[in-house]
This record gives sequence, C-alpha cells and structure tokens, in this order.
Amino acid sequence: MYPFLRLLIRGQRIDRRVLYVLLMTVVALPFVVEIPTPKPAISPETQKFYDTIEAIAADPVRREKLVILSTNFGAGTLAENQTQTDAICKHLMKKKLKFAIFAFVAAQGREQGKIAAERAATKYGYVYGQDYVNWGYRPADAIEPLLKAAVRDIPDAVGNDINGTPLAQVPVMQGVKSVNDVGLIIEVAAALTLPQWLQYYQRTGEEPIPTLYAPTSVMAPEGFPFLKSGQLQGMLFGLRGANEYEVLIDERDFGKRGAASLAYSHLLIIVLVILGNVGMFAQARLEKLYREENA
Amino acid sequence: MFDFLADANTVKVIKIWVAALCTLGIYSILYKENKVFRFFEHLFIGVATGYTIYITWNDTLKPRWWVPMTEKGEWWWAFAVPAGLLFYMIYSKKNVWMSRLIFGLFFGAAAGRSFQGFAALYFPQVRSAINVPLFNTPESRAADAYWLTPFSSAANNLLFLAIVVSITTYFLFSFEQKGKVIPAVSRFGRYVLMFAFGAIFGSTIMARMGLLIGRVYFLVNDWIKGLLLGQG
Repeated sequence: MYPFLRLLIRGQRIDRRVLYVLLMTVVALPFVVEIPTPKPAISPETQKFYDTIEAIAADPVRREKLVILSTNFGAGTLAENQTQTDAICKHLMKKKLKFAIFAFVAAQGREQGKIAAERAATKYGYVYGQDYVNWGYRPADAIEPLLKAAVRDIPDAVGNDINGTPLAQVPVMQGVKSVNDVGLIIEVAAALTLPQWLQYYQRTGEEPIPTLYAPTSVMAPEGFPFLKSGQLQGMLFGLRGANEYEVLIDERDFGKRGAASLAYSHLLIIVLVILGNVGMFAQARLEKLYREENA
Repeated sequence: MFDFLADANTVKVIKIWVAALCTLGIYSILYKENKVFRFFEHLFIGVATGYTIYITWNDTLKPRWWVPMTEKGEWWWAFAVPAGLLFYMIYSKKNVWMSRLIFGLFFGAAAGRSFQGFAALYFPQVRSAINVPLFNTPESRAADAYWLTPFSSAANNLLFLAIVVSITTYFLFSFEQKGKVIPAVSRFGRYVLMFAFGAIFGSTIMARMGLLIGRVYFLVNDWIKGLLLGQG
C-alpha cells in the first residue's frame, strides 16, 4: 500500500521543466506528423458569424456598403487572431465585399491586417485601393472622438490610408461618406476594443450596423452577453472559432493544425490535473495511515 | 556593405533566424532566470516602443498635424504643442495649476462621452435581460436556429433568469442577508459565479496554449523544416 501511495504522490511533484518539455512535444507533434483529428462541431456563435457575412453578401443594397475590419492585435496573439483574420479576409474576398482595415490599440494591427489581406488577395484577385483599403493605426486615446467624427464624415475623420493617400481619393472609398455607408463591423481583438464600436458607432446611423467579434479565447466569455443582447451578431471563439470558421468557408489552413495541437495540449493538461489531484489525495491518505500507525 | 539585403530570399532567411533566436531566447526563462532572457525581453520592449512611436508619427501625427501645420498653412495646429505641454506641468510644484486646465478639459470631455458610452453598452443588455421570453421564443422558431428547440430554448432562458436573480442577490451588500430564502439564493449565485470563473479560467488556458502553438508552429515549420532541413 505504502509504495503505491508514494508513487501516486509523485504525480504532484513533477518538475515544471519536465512539464514544459511534455507540453512542447505534444503541441509540436501535429506539425511533424499527420494526426487524424475529427472535423469540429460548429458552435452557434461561429455559425452566426458566417451567416451574417453570407446574408450581407446576398443583400444587393448592403453588399455595396463598406465592411470595417478592425485588427487590434499584435505579434503576441498571432496564432489566434491572425488565423481569424486570414479566414475573415478570405470570406470577404470570396463574397466580393469591399473592406477597410483599421487598428487603434495595437500599432502592429495595421500590419497584421495588411499581411492577411495580401495573402488572400493574390488568390481572389483583390487589388489594394480598388477592392480594399488600409486606414492604418490611430492611437487609442484618439479613437472615441475619431469615431464620433466618423459618424458624419469618414474620409475627413480618418484622413489618409497607410500610403498617405487621402481616403477621398482612394477608389474603394468612393460613395463611402458616413456611418450609413458602413454595412458591417468586424472587430478582431486582443484587448478590450469592442466597446468603442458599440458605444460610439454601431447604433448612430439610420439602422444598427451588424457587428462581429473575433477575440482571443481568454476574452471570448465576455462576448456572450453581447451576443445574447443582440449587440453582436456572431463571434469566433479564439483558435477554436477560427478552426470552425475555416470549415464553414472551406479554406482549411492553420486553424486545422492549430486546433489539433490545442486538443492534445488540453488532453495533457487534463491528465496532469488528474495526476496532481490523485497525488494530493494519496498524500492525505498516506498521512492518515501514518497517524493511525503512530497512534 | 549591405548589398546582400537587396535579395528578398536572404532577407527572409535572416528574418527567420532572428525570429527563431528571439523565440528561443525568450523561452529560455522556462529553464531558469538568465541573462539571455533578460536581453531579449529588453530588446522586445525597445522594438515594440520604437515601432509604436514610428507608426503613431507616420499614420497620425505627420499627416494630421505636422503636414497641415507646416505645408498647408494651417498654423493654428501649433497651439497643440503648448496645450500638450500643459500635461507636464504636473511635475512643477509652482505651476501645477496649469496642468489642471488641460486635465479638467479632458475629464469633462471623457465624462460627457461616458454617458453615451454607458447607455449604448449596457442598456441593450438590461433590456435583453428583462425581455427574456420564457416559452416558444422567437429564436427557437427561426429557420436557421437549428441548435435551439422550443424546450432547450425555454430551459436556457429560465436558467438565465435564475442566474441573473441569484447573482444580483449575492451582490446585495446593503443589508444583512437573513432568513432561509435570500441566503440560499445568494449561495446559488456564488456557486454559479464559481462555475463562470472556472469557464473563464479554461478559456485562459486555451488562449495561452494558442500563444504557444503559434510560436511552436513557427519553430517547427519555418525554422526547422524550412531552413534547417530545407523542406520549405
């Protein structure tokens, strides 16, 4: 009995460096060998995200409006946010929707949005300036006045694109003047940047603008109340959501491989949590046995 | 001297090597605290700060302030400089009153905006919570709501209401919670909060794994397979 309990106790004393190596190995495995993983079940929020873009593309009036793709993330959350942005760009281009990339908290966001758009543009024949534009980065402190000004006059409030061209001279911005010319807002976020859109832009036009949210997993739970209240029309739940979305748009990419790593790393963590807890109970049992023996 | 930088492939190889070394340098903290990690940590902070300053100048200050002021004759933009400098008067004991002018202006503007912000952010949620239909919800009858049945929809909404009431009860701190009903409801609210915290923590783990997956994918795919093994 005692040797067995001592063996179990070791479950909560594994060196953290061993855990890191185990984790790295499990995460890297799907990138080295092809491990079959089942197709993901599509969650309602991802389905709604996809359906919203499809509905806008099918509407002859709304499809002519501009989509704002707000890419507020940097290199730190590439695996989640870049995968989401890549898939979103592909979907928008597939549906021939015109869009504007914009960042206001993460300066790198303008670059990450640009990378995603350029990757997909070659395949879908999108041309910068004609089919999409990059508004660049504006400091977070200036975003509220900027959005309020952009309700009436987007080209004047935003100013120039990343190449320094005034927005009024960019072909894709022709006919885009006020909030009523915006058909969809998509917020890809690694920080709390959704409220600004909901507070100062979404409901300031003739009708509320459909808004979609693609946050990191850690922020996603905060999005559900907005989904329930109808302030959001859909959400991509981190890398998991990106993987589901790739299935819907039929463009399997990093989401598929990343989701396999995610699944196996979660399995490892569950096993380690069980080992740790079994070790804790074994220790309590062993201490009790010692006490009874010494009594 | 730097002619080799004209070759796109060479630049790509250098970029991957630098990124791989930076990643490994940062991950060296997992073994133990060391100077290599500290070096790369400071390098990252410096690069990120420099990049943000450049982008802020290039995308905002230059086209919206400097060019109009110096090239388009909009001289009044020059007043932004002394106005901005007023913030720094907070460091002067004698002239600290001057900083209050600009702080007051910004506080007033922020307070005014926050009314609109609060209403737009939370009123739809309060309205939605009050208007939750219990049975035969419109959502469950929608053609595309295949994941909702009339029963699951009603059960979901009842649970939602129970949770809203119990958690609101838990946060009633203005009076002592006595008797049997209120403490029981409050306790249920506390358990539900624990469930929520657990779910959020699970999401946090997923997010952290996502960060690791991104870097491991880069190391395996771009660096090891692409450069070291030449499979890219």
